[in-house]
Amino acid sequence: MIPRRSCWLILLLNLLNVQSLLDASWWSTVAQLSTALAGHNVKPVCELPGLSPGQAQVCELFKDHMPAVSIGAQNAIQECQRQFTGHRWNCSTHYSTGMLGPIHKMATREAAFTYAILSAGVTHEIGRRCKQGLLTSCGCSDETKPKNVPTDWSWGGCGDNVEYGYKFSRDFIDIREKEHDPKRNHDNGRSLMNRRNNEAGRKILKRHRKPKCKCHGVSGACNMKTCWMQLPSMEQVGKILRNKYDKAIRVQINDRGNLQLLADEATKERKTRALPTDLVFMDDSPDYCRFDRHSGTLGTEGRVCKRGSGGAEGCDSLCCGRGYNTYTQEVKSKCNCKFEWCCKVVCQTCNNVTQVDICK
Amino acid sequence: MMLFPVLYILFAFSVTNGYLEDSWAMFSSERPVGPKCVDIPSNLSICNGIEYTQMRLPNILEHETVSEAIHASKDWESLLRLNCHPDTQRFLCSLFAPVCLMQMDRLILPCKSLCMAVKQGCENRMANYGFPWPEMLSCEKFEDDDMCIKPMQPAKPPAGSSTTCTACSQVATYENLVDQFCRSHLVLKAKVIRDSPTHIRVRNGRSLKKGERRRGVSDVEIRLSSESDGSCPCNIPVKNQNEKLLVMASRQPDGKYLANLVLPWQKEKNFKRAIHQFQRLNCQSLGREIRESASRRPHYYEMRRHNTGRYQMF
Repeated sequence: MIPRRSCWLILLLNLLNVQSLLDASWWSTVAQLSTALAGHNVKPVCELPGLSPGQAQVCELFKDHMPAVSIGAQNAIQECQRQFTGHRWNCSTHYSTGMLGPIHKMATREAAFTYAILSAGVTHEIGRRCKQGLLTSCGCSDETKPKNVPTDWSWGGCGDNVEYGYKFSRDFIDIREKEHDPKRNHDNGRSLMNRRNNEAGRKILKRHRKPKCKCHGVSGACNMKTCWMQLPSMEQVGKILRNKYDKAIRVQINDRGNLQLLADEATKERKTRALPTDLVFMDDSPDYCRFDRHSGTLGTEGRVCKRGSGGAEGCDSLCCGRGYNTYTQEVKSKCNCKFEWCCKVVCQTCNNVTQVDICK
Repeated sequence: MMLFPVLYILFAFSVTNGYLEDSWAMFSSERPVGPKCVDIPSNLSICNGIEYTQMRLPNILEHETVSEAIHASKDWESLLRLNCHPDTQRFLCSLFAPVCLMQMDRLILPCKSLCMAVKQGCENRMANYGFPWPEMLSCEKFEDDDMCIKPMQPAKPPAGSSTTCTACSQVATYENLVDQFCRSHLVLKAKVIRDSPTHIRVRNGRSLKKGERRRGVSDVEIRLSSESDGSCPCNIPVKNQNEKLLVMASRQPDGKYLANLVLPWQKEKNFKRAIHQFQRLNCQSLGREIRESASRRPHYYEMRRHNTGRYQMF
């Protein structure tokens, strides 16, 4: 009797483990797509375990798009880390478990931010590659001239094709949230939240495009210009989404299976519905202080903090009251660089001794 | 009975192994797109002969592709051939095809002193043809520091010698010859005598000015340098006394001539083309013609690339 029970327990634990691995590795899979395409991996490109069946089909049909998906995701994660540098949650990748990209097992506002910026990153990179002529099925933007461009400037050039990027990103990323995957429990609320936040990221990219104008010719006053529509940079997108993150709206799933503002949320904000570009979440965030496999948090142990600072990166806040250790660090760097024609840069080497505070 | 736990443990381990294997391969994947080095193509003509071979994209003028930089640089080829300053190429090339150094991210900009030197030499001549110094070449945005491209150091002349006369160091490009023609009152194909350190004397010459064809000119004295007491070398490679030169000079307020250009007569294509043009050139409308020809060129940004196919999911 006792041996049988232990057998079943082990089996159950492994199944649960597989499910959480599959879920958490979704964006890790996206990041691996270009690796597979580069031939560093024997595994067939579109059979990576994190792709859903529908996504695998899209991958087969649009193989030349996959490097853009991968790079767009990587750029998004970099921008995410830049926005949250020094915060307890800093969009870190969980290298020790071999999985890449942020892991969000709970429907927190951090998950909302991550999904939105990843979706925006993919849209951005696809649109940019259309402009550069790197994808066979799309080219320059077809957009007409907006009204705020002076009439005597010409409208032409090659604009970023955000329309195409938007459609592809929506179809490729959201298809996963619509499918019923037998390998995982179907969580309708979480899927709706993910789709909502993905769409917010894409819409923010679309709404913040603006005309880019360039002078041409030997004109002195720059009165000859050609303009086209250009996407915002990922830095700008990160900044906008960061504001949305600070004002994220809590929702819940209602009886009819739709997302709905919480009652107290609606009363407090005096509005009955969220904007299409608002981020939404369903769960409270953990404090991100301790390593917790169950909730997928890394903790702040070993993080570099700033002594005496009152902000998020200050040691009192970042270390969650556990204190910090101070280490002396000697850094060699290049200094007093000079450019010599033609063509090299000559630098001296400087030694700098600094102190680094690290959370206990 | 003991066999089952072992099998399940192996299963879990192999799953973990698969993910670890995939994740490590990621580190060799394609890097995010950023500034990059590309070879300077030969049809980026303003940089032909420059001392470096790789340029950085995007460049300082925000051109994102090589073809965009090439297209925009063609407007400036004429300025370069005008030879209005010895550092023109270094300056223009540093903007259109900036030096690319793999080990560092920062842009190598031209020094403000380089920009000002080129502007001082070229601004007036551009203005003659209706082209004010453009905003995109404004010197305000450059700084003099240790990491910028400095003006060329002039070669130190030997003791007791002075620099070559400006008139004797001209280039025989079409643009320069036509420009000098329009600024000169006297344009001759002539045999000359160097009868003093500061002057040449026309021994036997023929005017090339419109309406003055075949008018013989002789015994005209032309000063070589505008500086008083200026004596400067004018080492025209003349094989013998009968070698013919192209001589251009301006009439000064005192009625005397100051040399603008002294070159040996050549059979080279651009030289002959310019000489042939002298008879039909209208100097009053030259500036307007140049501006209009510049405006007629199709602009890079109007050459759109349209969709090659329609987007369809299934």
